[in-house]
Amino acid sequence: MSHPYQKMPAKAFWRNGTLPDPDGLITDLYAPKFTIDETTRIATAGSCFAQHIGKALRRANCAVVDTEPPLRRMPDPVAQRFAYGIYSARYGNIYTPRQLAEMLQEAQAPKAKPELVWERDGRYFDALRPGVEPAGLASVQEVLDHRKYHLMRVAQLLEKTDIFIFTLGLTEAWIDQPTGRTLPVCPGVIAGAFEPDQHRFHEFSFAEITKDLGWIGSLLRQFQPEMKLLLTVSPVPLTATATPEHVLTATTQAKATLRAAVGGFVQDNPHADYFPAYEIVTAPVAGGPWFAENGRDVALAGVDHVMRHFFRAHHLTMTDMSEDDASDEDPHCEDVLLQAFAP
Amino acid sequence: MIRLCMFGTSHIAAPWNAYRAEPDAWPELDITFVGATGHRLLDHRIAKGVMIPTTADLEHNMQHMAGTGALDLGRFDAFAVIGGDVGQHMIGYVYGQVRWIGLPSMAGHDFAEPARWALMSEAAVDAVLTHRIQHSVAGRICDTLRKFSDKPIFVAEAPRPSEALMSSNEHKLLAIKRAVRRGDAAYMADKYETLVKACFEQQNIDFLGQPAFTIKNHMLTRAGYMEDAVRLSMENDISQPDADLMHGNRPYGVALMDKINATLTTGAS
Repeated sequence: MSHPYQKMPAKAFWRNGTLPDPDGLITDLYAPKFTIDETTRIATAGSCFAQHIGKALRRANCAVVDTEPPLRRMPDPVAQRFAYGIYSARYGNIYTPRQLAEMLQEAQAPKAKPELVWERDGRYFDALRPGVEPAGLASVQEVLDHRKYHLMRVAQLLEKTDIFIFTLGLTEAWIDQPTGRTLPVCPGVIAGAFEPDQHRFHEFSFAEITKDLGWIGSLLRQFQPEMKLLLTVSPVPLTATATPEHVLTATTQAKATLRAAVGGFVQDNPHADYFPAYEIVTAPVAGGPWFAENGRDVALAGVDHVMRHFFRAHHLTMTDMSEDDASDEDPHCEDVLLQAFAP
Repeated sequence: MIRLCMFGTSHIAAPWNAYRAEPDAWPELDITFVGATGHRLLDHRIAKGVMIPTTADLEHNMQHMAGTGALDLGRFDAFAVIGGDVGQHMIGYVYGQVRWIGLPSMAGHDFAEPARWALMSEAAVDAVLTHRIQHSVAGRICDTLRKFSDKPIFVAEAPRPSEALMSSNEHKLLAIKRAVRRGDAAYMADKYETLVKACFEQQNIDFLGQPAFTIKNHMLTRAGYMEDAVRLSMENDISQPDADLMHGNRPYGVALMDKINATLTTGAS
């Protein structure tokens, strides 16, 4: 008698497939659809965990594009505080596919509208990226001017990108009802004020996320027809949930939804691929534990473990973190601010 | 008699030469000069109030200018730091790469249009400059001195580039030339001075701006205060190359000495 399992490779079987090889990595866990070499122009975006990916790629001298780079000899602490050198432009963290799709659409024809500007203590913040200017700006008009400039730079970025790496972080978001825009953080946390009539909580479903991924792919290819999309799911749990669920079950639900949506999308789209950072950090067979003591942040050793899988699969040489890099490694995350409101 | 210890980078040459040429011109000051180019002035340690060089270069410089290889800081009534990376060239360096809203030349600009410069917020510009001032040679020397002493400390900025810059092609200073031409110089000079004062005030250190009558177009120095400048050297005075637009000459040194003298003896600054 014969059956399909007889011809399956080792990676198809848990006992053999999950055994670490002599380098401590799981063989064939990631088989890239696309080649990435030192000349591939890469853009990165996503939730906090995406910052680690971008930094590791930069350290390895990959061609990470940055159209809003820090000025030459900008002191690292200042660059970090003002969100320079974190992603390929200063969009801050993008937690949901909808947030990314809306930004890409706006970048096609930058017209900063006098909306979505938050105030705090007489300073003004861009509600779509409130973390990039920690002290805000002097006026609403200045926020709009900066937004217009930023969107022009995002468009420039997309015109010169070969692979866009996006890390999905959350399914939960706050929507500004009058504009329909998806916000990166709840109003009132960094600036602005929460208005129950204006700000609506939304939990993106599997279907919505799948649709938004398609929207993203289509928008990216309008900028650069050959652009590829490499997706990852952040293994970092939610800081807080706005659902009635426990934060642990809300996390499981969110990550399962994101992972399933990404899986289906990648299967159906030859221009999209998935890198299993989520599995590498969360699966007990992948070693670890890779989380820091707080059980939420991914420890630097975990980031290193993830990126070793990535670099080996692409035949790239990984550069170890220097002590200076390691000291700057705490990601820039708006959602962590929610922790301050825990009882 | 006020015993003043004057530290400095290459810009110390101007007051040093002025003082050596006319030692009686400032009778109330007894000055010990300690100069070293670049970051060499930081190559020291302080032990029991004595500054001890940790490199042969700095030891040589101290012997040459101060006549000693170990400086007892406790015997001084005041300290001054000349140059030490603090000067208008710092904001020029930033302006060479970025623009910010508030600059006169930015009024009415359409920020959706691609430009050769990057747009940065004024808060980020201020943070960059503040960090660079605090980590400059002057900032670090002042930090050391203030930990050790509660005596008056002054920082005198490096002179602005010579007005000869406007007819020169000196690439490194092109941004300042542009700032002058675009009408941004007054705003920038004022901004830089406000920031630098605020940085040093935190440590109770006084900032001495460039003598006003030596300044032209807000960010330049009148040519008469820069022509025939001499450089800081180990043994002899060596004329600066003609292309040098950054260093003051002996008249500039006299102007600076007068300002330091007035500050120390009458409190005027």
